[in-house]
Amino acid sequence: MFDYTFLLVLGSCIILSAASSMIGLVVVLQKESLVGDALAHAALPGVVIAFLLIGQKITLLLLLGAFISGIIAVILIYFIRKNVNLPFDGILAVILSSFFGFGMVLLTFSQKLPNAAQAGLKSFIFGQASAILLEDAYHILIVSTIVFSLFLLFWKEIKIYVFDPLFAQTLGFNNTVIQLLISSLMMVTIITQLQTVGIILTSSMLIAPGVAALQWTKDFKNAVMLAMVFGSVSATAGVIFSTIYANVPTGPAIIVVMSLFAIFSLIFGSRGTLQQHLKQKKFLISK
Amino acid sequence: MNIEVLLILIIAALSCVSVGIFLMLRNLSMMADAMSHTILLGIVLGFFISKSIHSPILLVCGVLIGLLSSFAISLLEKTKRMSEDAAIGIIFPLFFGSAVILITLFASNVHLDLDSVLLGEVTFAPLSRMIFFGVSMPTSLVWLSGGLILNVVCITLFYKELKITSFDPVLATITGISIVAIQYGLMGLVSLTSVLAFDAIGSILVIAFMIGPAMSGRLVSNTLEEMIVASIIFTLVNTVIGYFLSLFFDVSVAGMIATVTGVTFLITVCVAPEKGVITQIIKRQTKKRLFEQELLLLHLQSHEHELDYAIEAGKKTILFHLHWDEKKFAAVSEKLIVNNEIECENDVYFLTEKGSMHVEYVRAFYKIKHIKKGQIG
Repeated sequence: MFDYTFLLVLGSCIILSAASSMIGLVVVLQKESLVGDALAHAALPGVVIAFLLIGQKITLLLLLGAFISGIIAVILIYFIRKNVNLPFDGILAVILSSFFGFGMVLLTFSQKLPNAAQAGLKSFIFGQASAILLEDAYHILIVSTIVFSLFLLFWKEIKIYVFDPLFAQTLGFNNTVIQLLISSLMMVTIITQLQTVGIILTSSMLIAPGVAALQWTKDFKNAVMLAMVFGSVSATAGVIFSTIYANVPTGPAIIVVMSLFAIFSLIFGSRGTLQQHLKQKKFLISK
Repeated sequence: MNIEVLLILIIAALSCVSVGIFLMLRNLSMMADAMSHTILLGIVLGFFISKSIHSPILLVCGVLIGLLSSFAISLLEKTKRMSEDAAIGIIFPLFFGSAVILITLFASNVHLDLDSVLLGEVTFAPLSRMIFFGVSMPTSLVWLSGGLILNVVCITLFYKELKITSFDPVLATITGISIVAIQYGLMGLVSLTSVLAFDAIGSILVIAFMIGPAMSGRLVSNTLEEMIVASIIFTLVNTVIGYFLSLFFDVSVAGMIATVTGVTFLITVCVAPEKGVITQIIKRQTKKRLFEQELLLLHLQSHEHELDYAIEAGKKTILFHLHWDEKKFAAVSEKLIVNNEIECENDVYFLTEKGSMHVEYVRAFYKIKHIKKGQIG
């Protein structure tokens, strides 16, 4: 069981989950979790267009395409939110689904081409962690290192901005730059995940560990570390599960474990509902 | 072109938009997106029970799981330990991921592949037929029509309640309407519609059919009734154009309709009367021009009957007092001369009768008082 492929997949998934849990916590605190979902869906047309242009499956270029179409979608979403009076989640839903629909159109179009290489494009929708190559693992390692180091470098700025943007402004930080930094870190992580987890489920890799961590601690540093631990543990469990049952895709397995972690923490966490309930009771009795 | 396919698409799209309008008004768009994904779990479970993909058990399980997921999301949100979008981001992947795992574990060798459920393939829909009142019709057409009729009947019956709970929940509570009952009734219709539409549209794109036309409709209307009519028109346009484009390019039908939906939405965002982005820019510009003209008229009138009128109403003084450049002044004065509101003699400007009337109107409108002579400077 502990062969080369297994270790490669396990290592990549753990690093990736840790990176996305870290940035995910920030996104959860900002209450913009679903922007990640829209971003992931919007990546599909970019992937297919990049493939149609270069005619080969060079992962880095496909991901670059995904990045560009993701940026276009995000700009559209924020542009519409700023200029037209419409509910934000409605805008997300329309942009998300129409980009994905356009991706489907392009995908069915590419399937009619004589080029056989298109066969694997569909794996972006559900992800294929078990097909990770050494090259992909290197990409994941490089991207995660960049995300980690940028996050640590701007730790103070991100922390202050997330909890009190006005205070950050009075201290002389440029809020636009910090928001841009957070968004681009999120985008890079999501795009790197597309290959392993797939478009549909990628957003929850960001959300679930962050939510779980916040049920145990109030401290930002502890929450980040806890989220990373939850992410890595779920990744390990998911990879092992999908190795035992050969058919089970790794991405969904990781995500189910993550969601269960979140729900468990919500109930039993030290700041969770059960503790809250007990505290209330204690208070009432002591009165 | 296949008229049956087009008919299936139109009816599916109409039943989607009928519930979509109210979802959008209640800011439940992403919740509906989550539900349209989670019904996959219901479909899978129903498939395990009934062993057939065309069984009513699938429908029942799908609706139940859809309702369950919306209930679970509300429950998580109610704990106040997380925001609504985070709750959606936890429940929907849990249900959806479980469904994917179940399919790959137990159903990989039977006819229930992910692609057909998630992405839909309407082209094959007419192949499965049934006899309905002696006429051979596609099974999905019959089911979808049933769903559409149910949606329309429910919405008509509870129209008042839906309207009040969407726009003013407090008033609804006071008048004794149960918000929870209406909410879950609507959610039931949403999951029923998603389940019925999944093999025609695919569950990922259902959300485009529900929310897209409703959002465009909202931009071009001022009342709920107008919005419903506009959304239906948008739905028909999107579906028909999308279907023919997909035939022309030979690509995914549902994908093409979703794309067209996005395009019509973006166009509406730009050019919608009153609320569109470009419309607003034009409106602002027009107002700016009008304001400049009125400013010049006011200036001329306030110096009327003054001894040094020839100086005050001269081009040079006006430029200096209003901080305008030559170009702007030329544009404004030309427009006013064409409108016959001012006259020009040797670079000194005079109000005409029409101009004076306009100034009086402006003074009344902005409540500007006449300044008596000697009051300033």
